[in-house]
Amino acid sequence: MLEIINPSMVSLIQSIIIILSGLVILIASIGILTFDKDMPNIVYVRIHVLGMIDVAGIVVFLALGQYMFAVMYLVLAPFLAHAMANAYFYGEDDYNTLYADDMVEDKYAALNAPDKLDDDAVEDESGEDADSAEGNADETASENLDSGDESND
Amino acid sequence: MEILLISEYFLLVALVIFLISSMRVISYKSVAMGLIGTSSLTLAVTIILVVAGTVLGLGFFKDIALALLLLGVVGTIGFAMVLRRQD
Repeated sequence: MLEIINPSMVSLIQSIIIILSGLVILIASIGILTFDKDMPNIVYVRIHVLGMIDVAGIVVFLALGQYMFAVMYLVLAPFLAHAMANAYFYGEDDYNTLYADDMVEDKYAALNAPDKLDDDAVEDESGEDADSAEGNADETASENLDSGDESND
Repeated sequence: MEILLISEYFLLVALVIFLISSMRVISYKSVAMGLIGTSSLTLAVTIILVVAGTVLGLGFFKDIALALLLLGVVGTIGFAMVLRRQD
């Protein structure tokens, strides 16, 4: 079995891996320019494409026998991509940052609205009374609330 | 001509095209695009140096590539942190 793996075979496998990696790099480098620059979230798209080239580079390092380069870049590449995306999100990305800020503001507004808090409190108290009166589970609290109101009327 | 050498030359051509596309990404009017382009340029030059060192049999190409890989990543993360604290 081991006689099959001779030096020329190893060289052939190395060549195939390097050619495939070169094809990936070629396709990604053409594709990274063909995206519309006015497309939403284009920076994240380009970071994603760059991740594919990172993996191709790691495979090339492994095929050439440079294991230290491969392990080092395998560890560092995710930190790099996260740092770039994080910097863009908090530094320049107006659309997504505003969307996230609106979400946070809506959440706090819902929590701090006094009318909504009073309604919630009334519903909770009525639900507890209905549960204690009829002894049903929490899932049917709203049904119990309705039936309790009708019986009170 | 050996197939390994041909494949390495093919990879060098692909990396040069990637280098040109990285320069185009750098030229966009956005700081984040500059970061992405610089990071990809560093990676491309690193791989080119490693492959050229293998083809030509020059050992110090790998030392330069190692320094470039580490300093490129550190520089990109450092600049990204500065951009993050800008608000």
